[in-house]
Amino acid sequence: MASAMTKNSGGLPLSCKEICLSFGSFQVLKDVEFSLQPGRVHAITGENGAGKSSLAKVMAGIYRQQSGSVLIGDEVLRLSSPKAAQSHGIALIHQEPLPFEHLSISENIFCGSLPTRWGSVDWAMLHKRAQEVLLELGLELDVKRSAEGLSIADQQLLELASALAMDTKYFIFDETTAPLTPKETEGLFKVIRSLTARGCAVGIVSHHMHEVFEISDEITVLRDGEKAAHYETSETTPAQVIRSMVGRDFDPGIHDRKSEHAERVLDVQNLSGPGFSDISFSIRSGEIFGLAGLVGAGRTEVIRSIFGIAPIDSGEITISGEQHAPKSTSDSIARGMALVPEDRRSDGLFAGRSVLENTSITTVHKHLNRLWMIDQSTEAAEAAEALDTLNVAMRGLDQDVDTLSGGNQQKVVLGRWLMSHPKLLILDEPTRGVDISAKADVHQKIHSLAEQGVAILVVSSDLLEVIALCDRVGVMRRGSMVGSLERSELSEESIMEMAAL
Amino acid sequence: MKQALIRFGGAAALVLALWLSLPSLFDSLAINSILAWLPMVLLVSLGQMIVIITGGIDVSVGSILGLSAMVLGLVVSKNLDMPIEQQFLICLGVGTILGSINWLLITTAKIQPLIATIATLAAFRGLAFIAGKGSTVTGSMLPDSLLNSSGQGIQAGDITFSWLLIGSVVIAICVSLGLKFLPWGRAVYAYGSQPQGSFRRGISERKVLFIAYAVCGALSGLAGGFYASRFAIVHPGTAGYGLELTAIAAVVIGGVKLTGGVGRVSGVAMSCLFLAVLNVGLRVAGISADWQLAVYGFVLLAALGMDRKRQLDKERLAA
Repeated sequence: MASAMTKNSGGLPLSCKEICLSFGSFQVLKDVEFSLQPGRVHAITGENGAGKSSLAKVMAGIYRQQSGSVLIGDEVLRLSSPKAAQSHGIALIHQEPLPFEHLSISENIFCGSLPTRWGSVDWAMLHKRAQEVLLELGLELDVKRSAEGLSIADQQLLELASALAMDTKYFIFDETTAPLTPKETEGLFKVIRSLTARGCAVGIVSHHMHEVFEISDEITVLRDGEKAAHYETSETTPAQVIRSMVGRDFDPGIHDRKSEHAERVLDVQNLSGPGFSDISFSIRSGEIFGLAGLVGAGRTEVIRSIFGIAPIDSGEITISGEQHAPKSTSDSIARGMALVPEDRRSDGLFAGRSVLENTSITTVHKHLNRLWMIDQSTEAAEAAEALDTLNVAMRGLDQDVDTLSGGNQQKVVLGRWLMSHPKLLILDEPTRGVDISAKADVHQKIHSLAEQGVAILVVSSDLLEVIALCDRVGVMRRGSMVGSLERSELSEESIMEMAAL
Repeated sequence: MKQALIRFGGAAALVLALWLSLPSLFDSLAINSILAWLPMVLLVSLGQMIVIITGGIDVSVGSILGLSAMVLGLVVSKNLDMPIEQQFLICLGVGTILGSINWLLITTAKIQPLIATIATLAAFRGLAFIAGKGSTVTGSMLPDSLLNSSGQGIQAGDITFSWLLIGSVVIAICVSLGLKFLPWGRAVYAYGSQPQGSFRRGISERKVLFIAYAVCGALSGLAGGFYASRFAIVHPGTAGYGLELTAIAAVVIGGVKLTGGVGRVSGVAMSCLFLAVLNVGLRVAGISADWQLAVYGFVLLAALGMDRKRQLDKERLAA
């Protein structure tokens, strides 16, 4: 590389000692140990939300740990910013690259450390060095063109090129393969092997077992923010790793709903759209159907298309026997569908407005009095009734919804849709970031709705939740439905094997 | 490249049309008033451009100009023999301080640029009244050295290229070179193109925004000196009043994207010239000054509309 002398001589491992990280009262990492050895690939794996990416971000100077330390050899590093991490030769390659669209490819690579002569940018040198770095990656791009319109794979390689240009010794790839095609993934792995061949240390965050076993030398498994296991890849099996990913005691909360699976409320045939293809499943009245899979498997995309937020490329949706080609969400609402979105902050809540307004927003047009004004007493009565069964902890209906806890906000969004008495309720990550007691309330409500005959579609990354709620589960991987499991077959292992293998 | 040709062709066609329909726009009197109008607006637009490239906006530029001109007037009225360089340095200093206040509000207090600078738009204007105790600085209180800089310069026949015009063009060239060749200039583009990505690459948001708002303040402050020189009067309420609209219009018409990351000095300079011609053209054509503001608004809307249409066409092509 251009500058042979860097701050840290090669050959020293990068290690994490007793890393603890929390956001507010939520502990993300607990006493995690991890190390990157020169010339080796170390995989970090675990379920969604196990803390894999957080650990990577601590090493890259994006998150600051509350206690514990990151060291190179015996030297404790102060990683106060990505720049500080870079100066120690640590670089994180993100799943979602953020290229500077309006700048040239050269500048994208050397951004932040442009070569200069007498204080001014040396463009000839910049383009020349960019060309050299790209050549090293086997990438043929005109370095003077703008980075606009590059494929995600090329954008990632650009981030990698940028790391190479900064003489990085420790590369950490955060779910980098998720948006890539198999061929692109193969290309990336070739680059990773060449990195280790010349003595760099590589960490990869991934929950795809076949990738982990193909590329890594050792594996650390995280579970609920703790290190659950560490293996030499050659001495373990995918099944063993998956067991350590999910292995914990749980009460599946068996419910004996006598589902008189009556009418088929939702029938999806060979549906394809942005991010998924050829999806088929159906849900009957009173049934809870789950869509499981890893982050990025295309679950949310499916329900967005069903609800009319995203377009459909081909396939059919039937609602209660009638064909449904949603042009907008109001079509879907008119047919008795309701969607509780994943990101309640941006998609679900009207921040700064009262609990009452947030609850009654979809049904308020039904409460007009003879002067076409909102009949506030019926509005309040119905909202109170909807929220009552959900145990929302609030001072009153006029409280600002912003001041409720996350769990209670989620209950308000759920309550809103209960007021419209849907036939089909779609829940996307219904209890993400919600505390345990609120979670129990929400689960109980979902069960009782199913008993009343509502068809329910649940998307959840929380496997325990899927198992606790669903009568049947379809498992998705990379945009396709890879299998379906009946209630009796549901276990964390069975789902993870389908989703990750 | 094609866009540049279209722009240039459009501008050329417009000039030709103007010349045919309004020959008096091309006599020396009109040209001199176009050239006199330019320097102040060019300075303020250059500052505004840097801010908009970062994805921000500074609507307080007119008030910075007003306060700077007021401070200058009050200082020089007591030191009539102060060298001209020192007078402009005072303006630069006042502008830099005011721009830094905007920067502090935006980075340290984390207020959105539009809101923060609306607040300082009012505050700085108010300070201009307070500084002068509500009084007006008149021409007789200003030194000849200042007043002459707008009237004198290089003479080409009947046409005057004033020292202020030459100065503002030199500054425009410096800004252009700085944005292209200095690492901080590239950082301004990188930050505007992708703030989150530039954080990942270790670019300091505070430094980038300091450059943007302090330079914008400095240039607007210097424009205060130009104002005093040109109009030979500084009223705290009218000096630079509404100038933010002209500057933002010049920047947007000049091809700078309000979403950040894109923009060139050449485009902004051309659009300042266009606005100058428009401004003088309306007067020469005998259209009442009452129409001026409305015409600005329509021109700005047209420019935004064209920009939006290009964006939509591009998205349609990509889809």
